[in-house]
Amino acid sequence: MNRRRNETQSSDRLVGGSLRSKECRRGQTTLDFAIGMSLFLSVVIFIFLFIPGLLSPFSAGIQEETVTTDRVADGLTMGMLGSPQQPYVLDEHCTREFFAGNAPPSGCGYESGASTEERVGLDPVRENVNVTIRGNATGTPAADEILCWDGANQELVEAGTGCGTTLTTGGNPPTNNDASVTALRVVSLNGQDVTVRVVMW
Amino acid sequence: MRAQAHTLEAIVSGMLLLASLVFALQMTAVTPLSASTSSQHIENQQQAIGHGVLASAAAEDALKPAVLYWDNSTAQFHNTAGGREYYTNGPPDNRFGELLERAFDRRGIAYNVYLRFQNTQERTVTTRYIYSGEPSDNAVRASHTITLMDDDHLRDEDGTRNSTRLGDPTTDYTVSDTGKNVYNTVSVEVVAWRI
Repeated sequence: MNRRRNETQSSDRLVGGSLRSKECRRGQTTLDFAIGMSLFLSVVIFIFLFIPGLLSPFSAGIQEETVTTDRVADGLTMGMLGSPQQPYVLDEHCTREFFAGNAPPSGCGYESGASTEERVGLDPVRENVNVTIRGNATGTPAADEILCWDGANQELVEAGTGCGTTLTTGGNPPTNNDASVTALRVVSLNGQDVTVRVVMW
Repeated sequence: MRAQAHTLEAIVSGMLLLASLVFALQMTAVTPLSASTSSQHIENQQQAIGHGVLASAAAEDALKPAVLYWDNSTAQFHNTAGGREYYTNGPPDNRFGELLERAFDRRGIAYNVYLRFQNTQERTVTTRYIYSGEPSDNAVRASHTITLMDDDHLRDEDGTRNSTRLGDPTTDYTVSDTGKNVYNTVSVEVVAWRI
C-alpha cells in the first residue's frame, strides 16, 4: 500500500515534471513565430509590389505611337519638308504649303491629302497627329511660342490673328499625359533654330 | 528547437519566393531596371536633337566659326573658365553656343561637345570643346564633320575673323596640322544625356 502510494506519487511527480519542462521549452515559440511570420509576410508583400513593375514594359499602351511618332518626325525633318541631301534644314516654301494644307508643290516630299494624317502618310482612321513648329521669334529670352509664316515679309513671326500661315496642323492632343507621345526635332527654318513637335495619340 | 523551426521555415519560404522572382527576372529580356522602350524613345529624341543642332549650325554657317573660336595668345578657346582650354560652365558666346543652349540647356539635358580628329601620327585624338562632366550610361552621340583648311582664319571674341591663320607657324591650335593642304578634318560630336 505504502509502496503503491509511492508509485502513484512518483508517477504524479513525473507528469508534473514533464508538463513544467514542456512549458519551459515552448517559452520562445510565440516570439519566433512572430519574427518568422513578419519575415515571410514582408517578402510576400515585396514580391506582390514588384511583379506589376516587372510586367509593365509588356502591358501594351502607346507603343505603336512611340515608334510612329519618331518616324513621322524623322520623315518630316529629313525629307518631306526639306531635302534628304540636307536633313534638319527645312524649306520655307514646302513648310508653308504643308501647314496651309495645300497639295505638295513640285520638289516637296509630303503626300497629298485632306488631313494632316494623310499628308504625313498615316491612316486617318487609326492615328491622330498634330504637328507644330515652335520657336523664338520675338527675341525675348527663353520665349517659346507657336510660329507663323509671314508671307509678305518672308519671315517667321509669333502666331496671332492675321499673321499669315500658322505653323500648326492637326487636331488637339488629349490633355491626359499618358495618352499621347511626342517627338521633338530641332531644325533650321529660314535661318532660325525652331522645334518641330509631333504629337500622336 | 520548435521555436527556431518557425523562423527557419519563414526564411526558407522567403528565399524560395525570392528565388522564383529571380528566375522570373531571368526569363524577361526587358525589366524595370534595364533600359526600357520609353527611355529608348527619349534617347532617340536627344540624338535627333543633337543631329538637328549640328545640322542647323552647319546650315547657318555657324559650326566652323565656333570651332575656330580660339584665342591664339593664351592657347585656349575664348573666355573659358579656370584656365582650361575648353568650356566648363555653359556654352560659348557664339551662335553655336546659343543653339546648344536653346536646344539642350532649357530642356534640362546635359551635354558635352568633343572635337575628334587624327593627329600627325594618324591616331584619333578627342579633345574637349564643352565639358559638363562624365556622361551617364544612357548618353547618346551625334556628330558632324567639318574640314579645316590651312588658310582658315581664327575668330575673335566677337566672332569676327582675325588675321591669324591655321597654317601659320606661330598658331598654337588645339587641332593638330596633318601637314597636307587640308589642315585637318574634325568631327564635332555632341554627347547628350538626361541629368
